[in-house]
Amino acid sequence: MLRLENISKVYPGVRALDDISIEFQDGEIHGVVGENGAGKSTLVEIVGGTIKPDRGAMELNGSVVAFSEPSEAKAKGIAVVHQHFQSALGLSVTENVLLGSPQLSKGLVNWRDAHKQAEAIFADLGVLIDVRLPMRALKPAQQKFVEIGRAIYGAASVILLDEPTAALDGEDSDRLFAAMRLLSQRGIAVAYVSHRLEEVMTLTDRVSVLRDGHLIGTWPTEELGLDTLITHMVGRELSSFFSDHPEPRPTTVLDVRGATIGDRVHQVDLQVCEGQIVGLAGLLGSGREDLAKAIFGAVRLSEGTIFVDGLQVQLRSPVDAVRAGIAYVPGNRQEEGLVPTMDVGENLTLASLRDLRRHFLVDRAREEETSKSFVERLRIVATSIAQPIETLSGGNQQKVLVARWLATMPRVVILNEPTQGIDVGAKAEIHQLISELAATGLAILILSSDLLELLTMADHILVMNEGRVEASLPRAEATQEKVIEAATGHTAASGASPWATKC
Amino acid sequence: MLKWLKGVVTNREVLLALVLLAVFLGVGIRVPRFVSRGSIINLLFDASTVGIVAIGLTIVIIGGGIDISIGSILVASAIMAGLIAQEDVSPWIAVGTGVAGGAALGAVNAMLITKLKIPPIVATLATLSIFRGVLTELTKSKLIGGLPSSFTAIGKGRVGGVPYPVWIMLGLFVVAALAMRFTGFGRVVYSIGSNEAAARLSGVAVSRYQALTYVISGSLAGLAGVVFVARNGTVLPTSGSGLELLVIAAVVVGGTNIFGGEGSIAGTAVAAVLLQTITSAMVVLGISSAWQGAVIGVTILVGVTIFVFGQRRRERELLA
Amino acid sequence: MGARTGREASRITGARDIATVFVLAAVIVSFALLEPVFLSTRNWVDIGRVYYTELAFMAVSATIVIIIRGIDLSVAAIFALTAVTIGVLVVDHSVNIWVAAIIGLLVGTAAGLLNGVLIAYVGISPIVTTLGTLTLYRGISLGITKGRNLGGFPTSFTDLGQGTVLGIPTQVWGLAATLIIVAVVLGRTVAGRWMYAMGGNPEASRLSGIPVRRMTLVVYSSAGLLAAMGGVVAAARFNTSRSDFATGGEFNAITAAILGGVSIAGGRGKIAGAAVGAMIIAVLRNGLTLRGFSGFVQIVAIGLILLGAAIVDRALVARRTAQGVATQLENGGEEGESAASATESTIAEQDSGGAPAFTGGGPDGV
Repeated sequence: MLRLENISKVYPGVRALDDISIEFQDGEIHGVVGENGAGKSTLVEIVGGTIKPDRGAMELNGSVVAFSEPSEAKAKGIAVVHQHFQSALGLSVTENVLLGSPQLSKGLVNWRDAHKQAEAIFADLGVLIDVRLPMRALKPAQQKFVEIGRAIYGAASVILLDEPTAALDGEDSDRLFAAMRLLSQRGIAVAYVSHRLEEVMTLTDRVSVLRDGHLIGTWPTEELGLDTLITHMVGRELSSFFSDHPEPRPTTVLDVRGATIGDRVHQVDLQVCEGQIVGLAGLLGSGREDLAKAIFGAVRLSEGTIFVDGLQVQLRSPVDAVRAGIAYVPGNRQEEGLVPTMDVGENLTLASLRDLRRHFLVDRAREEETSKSFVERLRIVATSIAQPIETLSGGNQQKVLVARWLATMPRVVILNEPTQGIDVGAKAEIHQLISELAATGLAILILSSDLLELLTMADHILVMNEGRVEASLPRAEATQEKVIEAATGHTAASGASPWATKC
Repeated sequence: MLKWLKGVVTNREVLLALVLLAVFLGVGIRVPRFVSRGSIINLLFDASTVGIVAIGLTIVIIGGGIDISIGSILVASAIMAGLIAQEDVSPWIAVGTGVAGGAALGAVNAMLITKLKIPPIVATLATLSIFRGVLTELTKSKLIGGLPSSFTAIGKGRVGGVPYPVWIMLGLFVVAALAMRFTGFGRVVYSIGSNEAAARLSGVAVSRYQALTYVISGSLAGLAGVVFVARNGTVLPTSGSGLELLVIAAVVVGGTNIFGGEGSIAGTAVAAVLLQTITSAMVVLGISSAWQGAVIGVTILVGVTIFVFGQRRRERELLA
Repeated sequence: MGARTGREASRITGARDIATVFVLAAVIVSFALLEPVFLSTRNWVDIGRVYYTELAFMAVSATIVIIIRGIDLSVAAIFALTAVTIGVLVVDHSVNIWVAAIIGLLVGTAAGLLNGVLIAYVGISPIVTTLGTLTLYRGISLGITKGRNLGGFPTSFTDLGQGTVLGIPTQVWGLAATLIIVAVVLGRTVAGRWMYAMGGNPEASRLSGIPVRRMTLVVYSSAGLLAAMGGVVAAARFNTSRSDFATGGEFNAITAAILGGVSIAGGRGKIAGAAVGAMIIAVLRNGLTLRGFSGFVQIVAIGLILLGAAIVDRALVARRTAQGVATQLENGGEEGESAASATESTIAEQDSGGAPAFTGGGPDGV
């Protein structure tokens, strides 16, 4: 049993966790829910030993423990499956399962035994994985199971899973849940951090809700209804974020035909009309991101043609795409979007510098003007355009990225997970912004894992699965069930092949 | 058959070995004595300094770091060992001093990198100068020379007609290769180089392992320094400069990924021998020594390009 | 001079610049007190001519490459190759000295271009590429000179390296002009902005429509040209060219850049900084030589100062991280902490300059 008593963690100016007391009992599955920023990540980091609490104590099976680094937590039998992929891709499955355990730090390893142990774990999990393969040969879902396997291998007392089902489809999630029940039956304390509330409702014995760093309460799951849970999480009635924009016009702006990328995308047709928002749904590995990047010239098309406003474009790189009027706004801000060494203004004008020149040099006055006008127009919260981009909130950073691309006066805007890691308030603003863009006649393609977002925003939803468009759903027909079915390849055999939208 | 061939050709170490063989045979046809036992032994002898140091550097690079101070560690250790050997004590004490000295210098690197968190390239760029300078200055009045034969035997003596340094190098190749492939330590070092964050979050004591790789690298450079001074009878302050480049060349041509997580001791071993073979071949073929550098440079670039193209075939689509 | 990589960030970079200048001042003052001859005009002409200019050319070359998150170990080899080309053309082929000089500059640029092609189009990592070309270019230099010293140039040429204009060595004027041009390009042009972006986040730059591969070619070629300029100066100053010019110069060049505040991780740094960094090294070497210290003491001193600079940089990173994390949490209380830890790891990675420092090559890391 792991007990957290009065745990607080303070960063300069903010309390990330304020006086949290939670008990993860042996043999129970304990859910932890909360909005982005409620303190879930900090909690995971403290339990895993990555950071130390400023106040409060942890007690494991009766004795007080304190960790300065993850290896100490692991040595005590606490295992964490982290949200983002944490694998050594060049190593084999077995080696990844053993990573961080005392077995691997001894001199000679009995590999035959190690392989057997790893295989046993996967047998328990009900998944078929060749333990001798290198990690990079596995699909994302399988890699996730290896990380789960690593935690199971190292978990003597406690296992904490942070959003493990992001990469898993229905079947795999069920396998994971069965495994978690098995573990809890063996007396291990299982903590399940997730924002997938339906899962939490079916799986857990008790639920703790965090909001703004506070523990709102812990309840037996069966006593809670979904609505009550949400209200606890949000602290207010959730207003629907319905965005309105005029009907799309009957002109085709983006026309993609026969797009094929290696073995990851097969013969996809896609069209976006003027003023239309097309949503692109699909699980990790469905090929939707490759497709989106290929339309932007960032990934090479093996086959297929792209037309913008009726003219065929050859995209050898994003440079050509920008010239053709195509824009790509990444949701993965840190990796693909922001230049951390630059300020707001510089990040904002990054894609449109060529238009801000005067006699070979950058016209700083015009640059400032442009940046300031976008900051105003998009209501970006920053003390000045000279503020380092790192210090803006996620929502405002995302707005800077959108502004960057608006400054290039595009015809097509592709947004990849536009509200990832952004809180509810800012989300609504970004949705409003996207609607406004559609109203001005831009052709918009949104990739999103947030079904609610797609269902409310998109005029048309394309669902991809394993490199193909599995379903094409106009707004009127689109439902959560249909999207999920298509994304997991469970569409009722329709016979007709999926097609693109027609303007 | 074609598939088997493909499997062979995409295996780096095997490919390198084949190239090595090809060079040997190619030169051997023109100059038959090149493939004689004596000639091969001499070749391995000449390669032993780079070979021993390259083992340590391979381990450091696989773990995600880099160490360009190895040449300086070699010289510093050679000086330390030489000074002790001059005092006519048991040669083992001199050896121990050299290796321990190298380990200590490696530990300095380790501290700068893992404790003070200085980027490895910057830290070892600084220690490259500091190690060499300090040792040279401290000992400049004491010439190294007149070393007892019990000590120089380490560098010049032979067993079974093969000089000690070659045995040392080959032995270390085997031990290190096995250790990196099969022990927990080796696999953890690979994991750190492959994904440091993942390793840390999985409970690996990353700093400790990284520190250890630098100490090992220092120790091996120290050992090479001992062999160097034993073999040459003396050491100059300018000795071993430029060594780091040759060593990195061996590591990289051997297929080790400069960013870490991938590579092998076997590859380094074959590459070190290959580079030495090419150098010796040029001498034997009468190619002016003036052009040797150019040939080695081309070899490095060509070798590395072939590897990259082999990899690229896999990742063809992901470009711009 | 140089780009403002974030005006508020400049406050922190500003602190670093001040520290660099302070160190230079401290070194100068120390030597001035210890050695009467140090402040004499003649000595400063010496510093400019013998210790500074050629190093500064290489330091600028190293700087522009490091800014785009690359590295160029072949800078000194290109320096020597250029000098040697001039020597061979003039001595062995009776080519006019000025034509030879121009060809030398072209050869240096081509050498840099080869680096760029291997890095941007073949995909070999910068450190490995330039290691190979370093060996190659040194090898070619040795090959075409066959170990000889080639010299005996017309005085009109050697005046470039041995003469003065208005009391200042001629080459210093050339260096100054070069520094100004490069600084303006970096700080004021679109290309310069692109370079800083590439160093700050190569993938984001690619995805923002910056022609990353073309820019890489341009930068490495320019770096080759800058190194070549140094080589021309050396040939003029010595009135001879040798294939072993500037041996180990790549390390001094990189040290000068780092001393000057150029971040090894890319995306940050100014030409002025590199110029001051090179001056620190030049003054140190001159001063220590005047005091009778050997070359080995000199390199120890330089190594220690480099460590000092690295430790200071580390402290600045820590401060920047804390500030970044704090403001994140302040603004976005709701999403603050996950963004905060992302900021933390990004800043840490960005400034650790370990593996990330040598990206810009293949994803396969060769």
